[in-house]
Amino acid sequence: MIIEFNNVIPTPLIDQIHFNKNAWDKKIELNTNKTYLLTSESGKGKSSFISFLYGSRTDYSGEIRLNGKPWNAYSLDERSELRCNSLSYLPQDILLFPQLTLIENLKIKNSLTHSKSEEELKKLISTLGLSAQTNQKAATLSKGQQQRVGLLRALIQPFEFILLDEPFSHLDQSNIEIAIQLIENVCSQNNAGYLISTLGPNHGLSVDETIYL
Amino acid sequence: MIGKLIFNNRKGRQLTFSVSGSIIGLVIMLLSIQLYLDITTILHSPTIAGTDFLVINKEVNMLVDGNFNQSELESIKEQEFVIDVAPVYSNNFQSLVVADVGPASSFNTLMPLITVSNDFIDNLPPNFKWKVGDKEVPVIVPTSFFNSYNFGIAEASRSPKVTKELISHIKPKLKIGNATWYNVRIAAFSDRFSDGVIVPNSFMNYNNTKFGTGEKNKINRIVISTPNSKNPSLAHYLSDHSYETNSDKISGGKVTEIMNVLFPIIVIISLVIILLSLLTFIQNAQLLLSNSDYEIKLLGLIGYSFGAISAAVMKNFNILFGVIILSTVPIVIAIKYYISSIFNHELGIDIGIGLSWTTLIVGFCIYTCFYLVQYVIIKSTVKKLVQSS
Repeated sequence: MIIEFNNVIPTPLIDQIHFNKNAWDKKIELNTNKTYLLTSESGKGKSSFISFLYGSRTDYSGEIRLNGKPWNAYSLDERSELRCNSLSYLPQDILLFPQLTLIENLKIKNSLTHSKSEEELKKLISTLGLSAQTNQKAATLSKGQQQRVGLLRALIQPFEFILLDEPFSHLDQSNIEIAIQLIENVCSQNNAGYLISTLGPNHGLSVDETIYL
Repeated sequence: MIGKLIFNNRKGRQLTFSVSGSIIGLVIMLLSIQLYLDITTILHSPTIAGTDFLVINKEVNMLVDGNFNQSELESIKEQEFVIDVAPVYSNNFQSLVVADVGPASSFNTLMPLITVSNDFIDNLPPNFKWKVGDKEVPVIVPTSFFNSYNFGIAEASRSPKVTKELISHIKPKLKIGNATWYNVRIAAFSDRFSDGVIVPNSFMNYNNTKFGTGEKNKINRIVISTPNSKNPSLAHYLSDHSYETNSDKISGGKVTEIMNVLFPIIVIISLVIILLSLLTFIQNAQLLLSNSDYEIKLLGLIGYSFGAISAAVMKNFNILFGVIILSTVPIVIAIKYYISSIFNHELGIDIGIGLSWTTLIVGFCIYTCFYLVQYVIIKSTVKKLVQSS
């Protein structure tokens, strides 16, 4: 899948960004079998960039195309289909169902595609060190634990490209390393690429391209 | 799980109010329709009402003579609520009846005579005939005359009361004109006619010709047979033509008329109740969805289609609709059963306990409207929320 950014400018940042120095208001092409690091200082629009790409925000000028088709030409059902099978996403603010348990948060996602068995889900939970919290309500998990659950939720679906918005911001170094290992393994299994946003450090990721905002 | 996520945010009390309101509205609506159908069926049913007879006269008026002419009779007969019509002829000669009612009691009084076709006489006795030369004339006495003698004349004159059997043995005499006397045989009593003693047609014709004023017999009263004297059209016809009859006999028509006035009012009240409950139901759904705004948006964000989310929401609402319909029908049947038993005990009329197809179809239409409005609102609200995710 090819994703094109054609002169995209986020409306809220229109007066704050010097467009000649960054990726805004330019033509960018993302190939979904490649890996990307999206980096900038805080407040420069990393989350906006990923939200635009995922289709969850539309407050921009310019055009974003997926496989040559403008995002706004996709119907709601086509967008849902893409989010089920092609594009995966971990938002910066994680967004779990607080009233559901850790495992229920994964199951509600998994029930869309049934791509993982319950055993596989438990094994992934265990990989990120969350077995003890399997049946704990998401609302009672720490921010770091919630971030790992959000990462698992993004990884358990089939995808061609995964968008991870500051996925390690609440993790310690050892958990970051485990998470990176898991991301690379799952991407490799899906023959998929990723785009990870970060405030600066690349956390040891070896990516094909870095995009500066 | 989606239903659990969204319905966990519901407000129980508000939901109870909207469900109860819907049930009450539907119950009132269905009952009003069903009872209206039952009562109009009864009032229009010849099998229940049988054939009624009404004696009709014109309103007494200084400007008109109060007699019916032939075209008026034909016009009456053409009405759909009239089976047959017959004139009631009166005597235009003087008639006096004299009777001994006890060893030392007798009374004499002027006696109005009438004659009418035998088909219209209740309790028509055998041999109710008279031919020229007969010295005895059979008569049918109105029960009201009999009662007015026993409870009026007899009491006032301190004469003994008489029974129907005893009065049949009294042999009164009828004086026609100045000197013609007939023996009277009381052959039967009539509940239908109250304004004259019925004599055979031949007797009336003979004496009217012989002793009358010479005028052609005028028709100042008629009798009609009708399948249902309570038919409102009959009452309207009589009123429109300034005809009079015993108002008690047509008062059932007023019941129908009152029903006709009350029915739309009850239906409007029921519709208002249903509309209000629909509004609370819609408001409840919108509140529920806005309380679950985060969950719905997040479901859309992780890949759920708005169709799948609205279907899951509707599935839960279907349970509420099920509760409404499953509660409404037994409540309507139970109340109908109660009303039916009152009809049975008080009036001896069986209106049945079942619901008619009309009622069920109207109920189904209202239920479908309810369902569709709810469906459209839920789907459009969920769509808006998912669109923004």
